Amino acid sequence: MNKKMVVLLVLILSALSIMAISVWGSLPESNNRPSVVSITITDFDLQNGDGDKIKSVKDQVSEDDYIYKIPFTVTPINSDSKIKASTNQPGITARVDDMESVIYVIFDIDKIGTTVTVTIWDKNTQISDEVTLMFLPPSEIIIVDPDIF
Amino acid sequence: MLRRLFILTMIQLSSKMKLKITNKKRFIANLALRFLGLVVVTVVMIFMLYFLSKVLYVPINVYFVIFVIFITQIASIIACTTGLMVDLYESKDNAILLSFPAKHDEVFTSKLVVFYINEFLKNLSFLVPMLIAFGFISSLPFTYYFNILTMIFILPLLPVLLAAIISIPIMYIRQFLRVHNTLTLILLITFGVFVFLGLTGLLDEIPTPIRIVALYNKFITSVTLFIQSSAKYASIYGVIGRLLYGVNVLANYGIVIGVIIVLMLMVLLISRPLFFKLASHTQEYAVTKKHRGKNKRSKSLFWTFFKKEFTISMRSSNEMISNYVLLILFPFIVYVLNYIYIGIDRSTFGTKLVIAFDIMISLLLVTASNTASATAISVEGSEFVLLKTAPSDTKKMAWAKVAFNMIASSLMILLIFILFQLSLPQFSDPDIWLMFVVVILVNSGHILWSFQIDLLNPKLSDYAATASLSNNENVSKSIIIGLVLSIIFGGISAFLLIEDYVTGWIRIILIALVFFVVRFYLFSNFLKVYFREIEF
Amino acid sequence: MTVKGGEVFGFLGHNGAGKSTTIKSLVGIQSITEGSMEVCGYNIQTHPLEAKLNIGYVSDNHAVYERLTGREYINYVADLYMVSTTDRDARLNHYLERFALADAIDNEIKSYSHGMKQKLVVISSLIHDPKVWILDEPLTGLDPTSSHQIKEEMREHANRGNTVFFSSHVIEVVEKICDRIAIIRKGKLVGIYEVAKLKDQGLTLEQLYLLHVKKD
Repeated sequence: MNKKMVVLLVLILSALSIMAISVWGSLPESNNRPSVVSITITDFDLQNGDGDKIKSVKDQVSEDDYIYKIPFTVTPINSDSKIKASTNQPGITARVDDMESVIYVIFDIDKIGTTVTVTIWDKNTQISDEVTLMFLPPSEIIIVDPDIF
Repeated sequence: MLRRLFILTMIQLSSKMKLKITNKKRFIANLALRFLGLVVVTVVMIFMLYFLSKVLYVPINVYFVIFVIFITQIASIIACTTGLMVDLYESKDNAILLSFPAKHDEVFTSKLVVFYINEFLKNLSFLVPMLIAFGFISSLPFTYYFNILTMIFILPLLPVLLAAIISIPIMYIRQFLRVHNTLTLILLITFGVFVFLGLTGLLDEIPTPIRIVALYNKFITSVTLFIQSSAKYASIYGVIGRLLYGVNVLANYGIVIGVIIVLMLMVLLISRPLFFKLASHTQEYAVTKKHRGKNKRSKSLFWTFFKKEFTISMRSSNEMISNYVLLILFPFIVYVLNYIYIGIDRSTFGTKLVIAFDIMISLLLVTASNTASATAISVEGSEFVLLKTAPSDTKKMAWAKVAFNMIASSLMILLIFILFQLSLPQFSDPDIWLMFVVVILVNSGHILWSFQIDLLNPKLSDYAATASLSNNENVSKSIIIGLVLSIIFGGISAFLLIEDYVTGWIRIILIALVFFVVRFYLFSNFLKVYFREIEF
Repeated sequence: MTVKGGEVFGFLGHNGAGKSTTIKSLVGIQSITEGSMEVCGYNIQTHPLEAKLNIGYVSDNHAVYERLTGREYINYVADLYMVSTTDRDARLNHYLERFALADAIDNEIKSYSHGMKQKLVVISSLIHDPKVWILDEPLTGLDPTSSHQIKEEMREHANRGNTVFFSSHVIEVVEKICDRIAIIRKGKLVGIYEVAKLKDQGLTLEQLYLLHVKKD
């Protein structure tokens, strides 16, 4: 037993104490908070006829800068939300910071250049939104118009 | 030259790592065991990475690998720098090695080779299993494992070469600071203040009231982002990570080899020529401090011993810091912890739990700082002879040491609680000062108990022979007793405060006082009986 | 065995013979298992404080508190032996001049050479002007000048009517400075001899010592 082990013990005890106080020593959270009404991703370049949001990330995501931030808004502001996010591509991860209302999309090195759809949803109400990130300049993103044919 | 280099390296290795093949079968068995160990560690790493990936949703990708390599190599650079500083320029074996019929450059190179081998073996036991585990989890191709094989030999070169270069200016800075103690103290305090300010800045980011689940998620997200974005700043290790992953392999190999060549040239042109000059410059008389004084008879024997303790402690800053390092960490830990406690919407029960945990963690930290008391007699070493031959009641030496340790410890604890009160005004003042009383009483009792442990089993000869207190069993015993005391008092506090707050505090303090009185009584009796029995 | 005042008494024996054990028992470091020892009429077991007040001891391992200055160390020892300020001033100044330590006395002992440390220990053992001065291998590792200074002091201390009890396994030194010697072998005292008489008999101490050793 030495001082290094004591430091480790202190860290473990501290973590356990915070958990114990949170679980047994905290006041119950008020149930007055309203449910989520909407989740909206506001940062996109265009929207197709089905309402799919598309964003060009060609100039923003690269080998040296591989974390892309997607801001979102949740209404009402003080709603009882449990926000989750995911992507449709393995190797591209989405993490939510619901305090900052931002989704961080992390591209693996071999996935830079891959089109990915990021979905965000509230676990309680299942209300969701999504945006597709593409590695094309906005002018080259072709929206298929179903009315042409 | 190669032959001499080999011999010099083997001499140092056999001394440092007890590398000796006495029995071929045993050696092979040892190797097989080490290989098995490696396999076990790899399997454990696979489970760890699986947990990180599937439970905590931390992406296990090339950036993660770069982060792990970066962190482990930073640690290696620091360890190699401090190790090489001593080994190259201050090691006692220089007197032997430099007198051998070998060139100074060969001695220098052999020392770097020894460090390289040490780093190589360290990487084998942690980093390589981690890389293999990562490859398994991510189903990477065969070329990845081939690249690991080359990196096993290339990676250890970087910290060793870097350390050989940066150890020189660091050595000069250290020497300068050794002479200018006041400047060192100012720098340390400034560093402490910056760390505290940094901590307060970080904690201010946490929104209150603290919701632990949200805070936990934010924490995991922040850690993930930190790990993932660190690859941008990992420089050469970012290149190595990408190389392992198969990205621009040839170009990245070129960069790595280029960097190593540059470092080698720097070592060849800067460190190697300076080695002999620096190693042969004796440090023995480098610091001759004059402390003018008068011959003066002390008022009492107790004061003689107390003055000696005080003087030696003030002039041994390294030992002081080593003894009281946990007390130095104490305010930071207590501040962060209580900031979080206060941020949680607590019930009355929760507030009492907070006090109990505060007492427990405070006691754990302060009692673990009483290692000076647990070795108070042992550190006398050969000088204990003076106490045996002197025609005085030299038991007073024990009381002087106890008094000194109690005063130093209590003053630091007082300062910490003052800081606690000032930095967390939301915390109830009576609670803070009642906690202070409990901590002081229990800590003082623990000081006496620790001293008693050393009194009954002093390691005078060990200390006299080695001047070292590492692996001292009295220190371990003292720390374990401190741990038990902190759990007991934490538990008693929780129980009594929950029963009734006001009478609870009175009872806790009474119990602490009784503990102190009992330890005082036992210590003074043991001292009377056993001090004179100590023989050197 | 009785050692009188005014003589330098040598204690000679091979490594592990029991010289240090005898001395350590005499100065109170180790307990006595059999028999008794008296210093200036005081039994070391029944009147330890009175006996120790008359003893100045130079141990064989020369360890000192390295963070103290030489002066602080001497004052510390002087306090233990209850030496007045006037006496310690006078004696310290005398010995500092004698052993050429005046320039270093206010430096931390950490910066002292081996010889300087040993001289400091010698001074600290004489600061209370003991009637019995016991030295255990005091000349080990010393340069010729320091060695000479200590031997001279031993002679002078004895000439002032005090007892100097000196243990060594270096026969030449013992022969040169001692008045009487005792030879100890395997924990037993095998003989006490007057050095002058040995010389008259044409016997060197080395020959005498080897004679005792050959009896094995």
